[in-house]
Amino acid sequence: MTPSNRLEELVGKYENTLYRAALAILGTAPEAEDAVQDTFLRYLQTRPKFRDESHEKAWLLRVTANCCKDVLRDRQRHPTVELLDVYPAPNAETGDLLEAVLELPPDQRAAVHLFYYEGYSTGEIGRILGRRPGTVRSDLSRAREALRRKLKGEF
Amino acid sequence: MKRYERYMDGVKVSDVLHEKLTNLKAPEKRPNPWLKWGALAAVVALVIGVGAWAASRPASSGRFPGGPDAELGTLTTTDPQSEPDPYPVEPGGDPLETPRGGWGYEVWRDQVVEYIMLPALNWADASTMERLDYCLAPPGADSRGAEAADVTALCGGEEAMRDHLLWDGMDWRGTLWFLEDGTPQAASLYTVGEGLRLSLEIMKGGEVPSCVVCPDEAYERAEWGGVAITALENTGYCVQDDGTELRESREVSFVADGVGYKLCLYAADADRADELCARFARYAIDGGLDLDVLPADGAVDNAHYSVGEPRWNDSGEASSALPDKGTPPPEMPTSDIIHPGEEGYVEPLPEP
Repeated sequence: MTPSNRLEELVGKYENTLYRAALAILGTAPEAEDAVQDTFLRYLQTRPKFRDESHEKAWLLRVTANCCKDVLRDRQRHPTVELLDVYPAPNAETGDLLEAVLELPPDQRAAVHLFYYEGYSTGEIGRILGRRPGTVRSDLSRAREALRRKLKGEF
Repeated sequence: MKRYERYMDGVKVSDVLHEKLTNLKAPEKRPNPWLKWGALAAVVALVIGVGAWAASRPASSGRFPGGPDAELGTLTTTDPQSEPDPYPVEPGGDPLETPRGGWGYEVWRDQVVEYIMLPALNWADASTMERLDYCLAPPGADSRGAEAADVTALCGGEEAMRDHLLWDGMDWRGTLWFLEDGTPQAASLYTVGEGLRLSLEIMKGGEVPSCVVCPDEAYERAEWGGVAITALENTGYCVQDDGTELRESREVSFVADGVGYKLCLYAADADRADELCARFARYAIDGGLDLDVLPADGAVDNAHYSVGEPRWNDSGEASSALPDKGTPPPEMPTSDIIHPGEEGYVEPLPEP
């Protein structure tokens, strides 16, 4: 398989997965798009060898999380209010949920997304985000508590 | 989280982004700023770097970013352009393997995060290295006991100790040495906690003497901010009062801005040992510790043995102890540490 075919294959398989994760962490569509682009550029730079599909996906998510951390380091503004304005359009059902999720710190948002949406264990999330499993569990616990308070238990 | 799942299922990349992604080309390799430069580039970079560093520092403090003097509510970060690539991935390597160092940690202030990179230390096995005795006390120096509050001040405050060093709640003791004019010169500090024993020695003017003869020429020290860091493991083990053996031993030493630092650590957990050492190295190299904040009040002529070694008189010859001039500072305990090759040393049990 040629390198460009391989890239196209990975993009087709994972572009939405990575975009959703970046959006969950960063909260803004433009920055999430940049993070996904940087992820695939990093792939082209390093051309890692993957053991299997799960390794491949976890690696890409790890690099995406790292790219998001770079963005968070550069960010100069308070994320909460502006984020909802540039989030992909929520509907009536999800608007309050998104607002509550966006009020969580980025590390909790990342843990919530990878745990509830992608279905990773806390140990796997720790390896993807470069954090200890205990820390991930604390993040999830605090996030659940915060969401429960804001949404009166329904999420 | 069903609503969240339903929302995310509907989130997809745009056609424009998809097109961009499929047409990406491998970028050209950009020069690593930490590789060797020509002399001119190095000078220019130094000038720019010093300017950026000075501009980024809080006006009232020369301390580590995010320390107690830093302005809260703003995103205080290190300049990403001055840092090496934090997540290097070697071709063919497994990038999901957690490295021993080379990662980082976050410090949160409300919704703002500061991400601190940590150096990847290159650990050498000290179990077969020769050991020497040494004396830290400068000749003719005055000394006094160090309290926990001294160490807090030395490290830039409780917040900094907690967020950067993970030293919150530790009860430090030790000895501080001062010149006749009250200028702090050296410190020998220690703390013992559950599953952890730390000692820290600081000395102005050069390397802190080490009881381990340096590794051989083949050993390559890690570098951070232009500072070479010696990192040793298997320096011995510590037996705590309850009989627990702390088998993860580390020693990191370096000279930063003319001040020598040596941290010795015994822990039960290897990850914790590595992290504490990497955090300390980063923090100290970036100027987080400051001996000069320590007052000399109560320091007396150094009339006592320090770390159990002979006292040196002004001519540099060893002399017997001088008359007692007050309560001696607490000596760093050493009987709980057993080094490889010493009587009573017991090899660790093999891994299961």
